[in-house]
Formats: sequence, C-alpha cells, structure tokens
Amino acid sequence: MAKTAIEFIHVHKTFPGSGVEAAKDVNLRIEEGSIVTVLGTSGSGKTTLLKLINRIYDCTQGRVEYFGKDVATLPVVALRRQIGYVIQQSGLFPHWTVERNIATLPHILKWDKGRIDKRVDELMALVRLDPECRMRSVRKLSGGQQQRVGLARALAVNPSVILMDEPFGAIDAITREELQDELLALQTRLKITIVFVTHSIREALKLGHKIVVMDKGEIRQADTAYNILLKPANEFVRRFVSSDDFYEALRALRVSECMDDLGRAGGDPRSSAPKIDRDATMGDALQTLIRSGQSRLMVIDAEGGPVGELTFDSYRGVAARSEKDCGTA
Amino acid sequence: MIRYMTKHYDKLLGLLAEHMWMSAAAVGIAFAIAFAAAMLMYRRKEFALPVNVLCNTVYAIPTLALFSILIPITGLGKTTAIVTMVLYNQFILTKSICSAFETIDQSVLEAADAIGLDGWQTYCSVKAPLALPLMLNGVKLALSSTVAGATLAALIGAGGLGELIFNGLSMKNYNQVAWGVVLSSLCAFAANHVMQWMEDRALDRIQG
Repeated sequence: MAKTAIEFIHVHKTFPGSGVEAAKDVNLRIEEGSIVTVLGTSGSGKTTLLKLINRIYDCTQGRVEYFGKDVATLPVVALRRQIGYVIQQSGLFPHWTVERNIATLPHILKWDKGRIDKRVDELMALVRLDPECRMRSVRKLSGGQQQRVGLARALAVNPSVILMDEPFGAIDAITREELQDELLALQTRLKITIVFVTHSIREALKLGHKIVVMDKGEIRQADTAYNILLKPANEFVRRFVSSDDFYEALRALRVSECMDDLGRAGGDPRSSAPKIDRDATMGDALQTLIRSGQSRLMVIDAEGGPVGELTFDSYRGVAARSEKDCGTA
Repeated sequence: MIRYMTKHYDKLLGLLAEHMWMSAAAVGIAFAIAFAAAMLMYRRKEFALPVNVLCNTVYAIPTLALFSILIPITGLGKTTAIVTMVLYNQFILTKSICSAFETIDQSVLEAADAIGLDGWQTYCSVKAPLALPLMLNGVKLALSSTVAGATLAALIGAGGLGELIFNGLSMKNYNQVAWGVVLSSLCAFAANHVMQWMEDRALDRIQG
C-alpha cells in the first residue's frame, strides 16, 4: 500500500456564526502519488475540505494529518510552502511578469538568480508555456495560459502535494480538456499528490484515481470511477453521477477496471489481437475494437506485457450494471 | 507685470518656495496620519464609521472658522496653517487609502496567503504595489487642493503666495495680485501633473 500523504480523521468544521457544518465527521485517506478529486455542488463543503489541508481553515474537531503529522502542530507558513495551491481565478499577481509570478517562492526563499532562471525554464517547459511569454505581464495571457502559470507557480519548489480548487472552472471546454490531459501526464511523470476540487462530474471521473463525492459537509462515497459509476454507495451518489449517456460512462471508465484478467491460459504476446493500454478509457478502447473488426483486444501494461483482454462482453457487463442501477430509479 | 517681477523676483521666489514647502509638509504629515488611520479601518472594520464621520465633520468646517478654533491653541502662523491643511486632507486621504486596499482582488490575496507568503511579504510585494495607484490618486487630489487652499494661510501670517494676493489687494497693487494668482495656479497645476505622472507609472506597472 502506498504511503499516506494526507489523512482526515473525524474532521468537523463549523464556521463561527453560521452554525452550518461545512465538514461533518470526515474521514479520508489520500495516498501519496495519487489524484483525488472532490466532487460536489456549491456549498457541499468541498472547498472547505481543501482549505483544511493547508490550514486556511482549522478543524473545529478532529485532525488532518500531513505525512503523519497533525497539520495544527506544523508551522503554517512552512506547511503552505510545501503544498502547491491553484485556484479558479488563478490568483496570479497582476503587477508581475510570468517569470516573476512563477518564481514567487524561490524569490522569497532567496534562491540565487541562476538557480531561479533555471527553475523557471524547467517549469515553463513542464507546463508547456511558450518561452516567449516569459517577460509578459500575466494580465495579457488567456485564461488557459494563466492557469498554466498558476500551476508552474504551485510546482516551483517541488511540493509533495498540490491543492487545486476548480482550476479549470472558468476555461472553455476545449482548452479544459487539453489542460486536464496535460495535468494527468504531468502527474504521471512527477508522481505528485493532487487534491482536485471540481463540480464537474466528468472532470472528477476523468482525473481522479479516487473520487470523493461530498454533500452537505459529508462524504457520501470515496471510491474509484468504476465503483462510483457502477456501484454507487447510496441514492445520493447514484442520482448525482447518474448519466443517461452510456458513452459518457465509457469515457470515465478505465480499461484496467473493466477488462477480464488473463486466466491460467495466460496471454500470448504474439497474438494478433490489437493492443490497448490498460490506462486507456473504455471509450477509446471501444473505438479501437470496432475499427479493428476483431472481437477482442489485448490489454497491455506500460511495458507492453499482456495483462488482460477486453471483449464486447466486457461492455455488455458495464451496460448491464449501469442499466440495472438506472432501473431502480 | 514683468517689471514687477524683475524688481521683486527674490521676494516672489521666496514666497513660492514657502508656499510649496508648506503644502508639501501639510500633505506629507496628512498622509502619514491618514495612512495609519486607513490601516486601522482596513483591519478593524468597526473603526471605519467613526473615523469617516470625524473626517467628514472636520471637512465641513469652513477654513476661517477652523483657523479661529485653532489660533487660541497653536497661535498665528505656519503651525496653524499646516494643522488646518492636515485636518482637511484627512477627508480625501483616509478614503482613498482605504479604498486602495479594499479594491485589491481578493483572489490575489487568498493565493498569496495560501502559497505561503507571510503577512509582511504579502504587504510589501502584493498589497502595497497594487494599492499604490489609488493612493497616489488621493495624494494628487490632496496636493492640488492644498496648494490652492494654502493661499489662505497668508491671512494668519503664515506666508506663502497668498501674501502677494492679500497684500496686493489691500495696497491696490494689481501686478502683485496677478503674480500671486499666476504662481499659485502654476504651482497647483505642476503638482497635479507630477502626481498624475507618478500615478500613471504606478498604474502601468500593475496593468502593464
């Protein structure tokens, strides 16, 4: 089992004066190197959950642990510098250039100029920002580019965790997809832990290794996309994520979750069956399957070794389950 | 008029300088006090209303009335003149400094806090530069109204360009009056322009 990066232990949060519980007995373990998406409507407490991690809010009861240490006992400024933070409005400093924004923390930590320059180069390449906009004012960038700068700023001093609060919420659909794909690729490369708050079901399912569905301060279910979609823990989750569109579900499900594991027979690497990556979505796999004209796909891992197979029956399974669930409505 | 100048240029320059430093001192002191007051209002909202009421009240007192309230305390001369101008300026300056800080985009401050800037770092590298243009705008207004108002200081023997105007009027020396009017207007005009330039520069920096 992977190390625990963040753990909520019986966390309650009530804002003084309101009496509303923004977090109600929250228990959640976030594994190091994973992406956890927190999904909910506005007012569900999802942003509160995020802000309890870097102590913008403090728990009323219970505790949040950061790599085994209660965050309340850690010096708050030092803690925040280890935790990247990206928000919807980007929160960039409008009077600074792209470079200066990215180098906010290195400057404060008094890195020497050469090291800062080098780091800014790396980060701009990492988030795919055009080197030409380095000296430009951040006000002149598009929303998508601003979010790239925001992400680069959050990554500047190699944080172990990044918190993202609806970072792509105000961005057009095409750019959003692009940013999501790049975030996934980046996370795979850096193995960084990401807690990502969103109200978009599709985004939550696409990005999260684990999806936390929040409602009225409570976690209704914290599980994989597969289980959230096909085995909703309760009526709330079922209604929340229920999608009439079967294909929508296929975009969120990964091949590895729906494939048949290789039996004793094992896979023949020389098989002529077309190959599909285990991390591909079921939607992509379906396209591959139909185009190939064959009846099965060989599922391979990152090294190209066979790990399972996918047939039309696998899809029938998914359809049957989602129909069954819809049928109970 | 030209003859008057060639004959009295030393006196004109002396009064001009006096006028300028009196106004500058008044605005400088006023800014320091208003800044402290505005920071208090910005941090503790409960102070905002009483401070505003006080500033409005003082601003509503006519200049000559304020002089006569102050003369028994601070006597005739520059002190009273400067104190009066400082008091009037609180009205403009507390408001503009306060709104300069209040209009900073909350998401920027939230981000600064969340990524680990401490209070002082946020203040120096984010709040102050972002608030600067509006603060300078306040100083500009304060300075031009002070330069104009400072002519009245001559009434209580505090000197400045008002002396040319009031003495000239009583001695029917209209050349002298004209120089008083021209110089004080030029002075206000120049102050306004210098401040406008500074404000534009500050605005350029944050809006680039």
